[in-house]
Amino acid sequence: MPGLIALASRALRSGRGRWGALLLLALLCVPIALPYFTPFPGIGLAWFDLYQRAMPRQRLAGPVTIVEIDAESLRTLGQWPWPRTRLARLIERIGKHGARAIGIDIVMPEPDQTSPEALLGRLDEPPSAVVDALAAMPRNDSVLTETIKRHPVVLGAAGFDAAAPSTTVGLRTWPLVRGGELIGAALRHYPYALVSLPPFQAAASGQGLLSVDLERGVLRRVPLVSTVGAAMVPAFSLELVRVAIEASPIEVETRAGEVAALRVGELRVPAQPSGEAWIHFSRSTPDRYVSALGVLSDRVQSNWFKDKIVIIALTGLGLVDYKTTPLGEYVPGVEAHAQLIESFFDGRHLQRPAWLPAAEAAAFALLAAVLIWAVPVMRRYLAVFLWLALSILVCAIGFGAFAWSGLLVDAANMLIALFLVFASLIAAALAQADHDRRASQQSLRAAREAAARVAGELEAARRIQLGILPRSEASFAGEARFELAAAIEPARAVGGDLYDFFMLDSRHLFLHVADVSGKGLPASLLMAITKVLMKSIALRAAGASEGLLTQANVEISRDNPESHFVTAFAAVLDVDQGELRYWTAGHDTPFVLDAGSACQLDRSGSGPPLSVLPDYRYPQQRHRLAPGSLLVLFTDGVSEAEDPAGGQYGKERLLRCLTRLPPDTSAQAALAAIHADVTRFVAGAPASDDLTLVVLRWLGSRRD
Amino acid sequence: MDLNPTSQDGALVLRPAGRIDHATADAFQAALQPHLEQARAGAAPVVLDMQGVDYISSVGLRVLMMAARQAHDQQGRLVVAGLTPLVKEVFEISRFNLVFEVYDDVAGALAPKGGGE
Repeated sequence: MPGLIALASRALRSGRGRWGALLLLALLCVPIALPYFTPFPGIGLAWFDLYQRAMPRQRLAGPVTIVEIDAESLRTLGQWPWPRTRLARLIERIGKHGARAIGIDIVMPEPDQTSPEALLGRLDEPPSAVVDALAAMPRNDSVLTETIKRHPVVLGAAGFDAAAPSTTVGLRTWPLVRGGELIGAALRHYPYALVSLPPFQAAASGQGLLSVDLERGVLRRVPLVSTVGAAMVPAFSLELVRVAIEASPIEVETRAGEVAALRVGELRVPAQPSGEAWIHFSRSTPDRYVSALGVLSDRVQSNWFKDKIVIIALTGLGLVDYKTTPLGEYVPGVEAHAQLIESFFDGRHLQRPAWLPAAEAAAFALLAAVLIWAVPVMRRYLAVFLWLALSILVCAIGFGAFAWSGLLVDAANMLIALFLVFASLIAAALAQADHDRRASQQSLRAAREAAARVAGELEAARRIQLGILPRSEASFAGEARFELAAAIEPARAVGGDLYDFFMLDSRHLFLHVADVSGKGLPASLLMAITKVLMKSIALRAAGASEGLLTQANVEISRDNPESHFVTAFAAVLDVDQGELRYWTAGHDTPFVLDAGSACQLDRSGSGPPLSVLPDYRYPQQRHRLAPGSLLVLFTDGVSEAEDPAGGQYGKERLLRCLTRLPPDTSAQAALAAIHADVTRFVAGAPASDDLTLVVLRWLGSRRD
Repeated sequence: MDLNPTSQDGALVLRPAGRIDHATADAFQAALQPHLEQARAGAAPVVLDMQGVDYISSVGLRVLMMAARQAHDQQGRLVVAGLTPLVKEVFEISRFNLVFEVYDDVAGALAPKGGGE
């Protein structure tokens, strides 16, 4: 599982997240480009509603008047259903005032139950006068049929997906002309229909479908043409227009076997390939409505019906046929037809052409490509601004296209897709930052571990370095001819100073101090080499050690690529006689303290440090020690020890310290006194150089 | 470290100043290095005028030694002049006067051969 996460993280981060985002882009382009599919349909529809709410249709012409059989009409004139003679009277009044077409948004599939002959059937043993009178009266349906005949009436029918009482499979239609091959399967199909009685249909001037389908509870589009059984049926609204302008048959314009538009006379209404039209709603207004009561009581204003399309509809029966519009208004179903007719006349058509999804996909791909190119190289907050700017651009395009040409651009899906691409890029950037942080933590830990390892190795080197130096108190136990004391303090963990002493034979003591130039590990390595070399040369030469430093110089010069050099003082003491033979290589010569007076050994025979002049021959010098005298060997860590102010201890102070020593001071006590004096002078300042002290006290001749 | 390079009688004169010890040796070496190619066969010597140097430790001597070796490899000359007493003592103890030509002053260094110590 962690391997899987690491793999996913690496895939996400590859190419700074660009590969993942590109893949996402490609995947999202497909559903966006598909014409009849949106990846997030509900959001797309809600976005279209947003366009309508922001920019509802401005009502220009008012070609439609709705005569509503409202609650007041029902209260005053009696409950529904009314006798059809009253409906006939309503139609007569409307027709008389010059309506161009009269639509009846009421389906009448059964005979009128209030007709005289129907009443007669219901009466129990009616008197003969009543029977005669009723029999002499015309049937209500006949009256209405005659009225329908005299006026340009369009009947409404309802499509049904399943059989119900009173539904049929056929209805009277006025022929539609097909302007090309039409694959009928694309149209909305109703197997059954609820229609008015055949005499009404025969008498009418037209018939259209009232049915609309809601999408997620909202009325957005209406089929302009659909099929009932085998017949193509126009929408109620379209049929009303046809009758009103006395046009030739409605023409279905096709493109590639699908509906492109519908033509009624001069009017061309673009349609979706399925024959549907989106309605651009304007705000609901009472201006569209007049009450049936007013019409029947002859309170008609001249502008209500003259040259108008009039729809008679029932609105007073509670909320039977109310629908929600994209504007969020709850309006009678008839208003959809009325508004559609208005928009036909205003030339305001909403469209989502077949090419639009492909254009949306192309625009999305372009904008996403901008994000993919820019986001990985931008500062994070600027990237957010870029994304916001592109999103605003998409919104602007959507609203602009809607305002200018009624194009329904699915900006919501583009916004979501754009956000997904942006989010994947940001996620990749965050994953990268997380990865970098982990990596830096790891490298920090590695560095600390390495430092600790080096510190451990330095500690080990220090132990080894100090371990190879002899300990004076352990070396010459029981020795009566001399005393030796030695101390070393490296300035760093490992240093370049060294000392050594050992007996060449029973009579000759070899001792030396040396200082390798430089500090730390390189110097200490050369120091170890020097020590081994000096010892081996000294032991090989034994008593006859004239060429001691000369030989050491040759060896050290040979294998010293780093150009370090070594200052050294080496001596052989005849411990029986006090005869000191010594060699100096660029090193300060030891002090000799004899009977209270101190001086330095003669350095006239001193040569340069070892490894400076490979061919140099170091001369031997001699000095005879008096019994009880002290020989103090030191390195420049003593003479050049510094106090906090940068002042040097100096050889003068060393000299004074030596002369202050009481007579017969042991080697150990002398070393302790010098060390204390230097420590007091330095006063805690950090040492810059190794400090080495070796004190020899020759006690005198055994055979004297 | 600023070596204040000047030209005197056709010779390059460098003037280090202060202490040359473990703290300043690296800077001294870095400053010296670019001038060393002037020490060529047949050219005038490169002179290190040490009047301003109070103290030189073994680390500083090592820088001088490496510089001298490079000059020697190029068949050129690198000489020192104007040693202060402390530096002079360091030179004497370490016998660097066997490694370098040491002169009392720059004029001595530039005088016809034989004006050395």
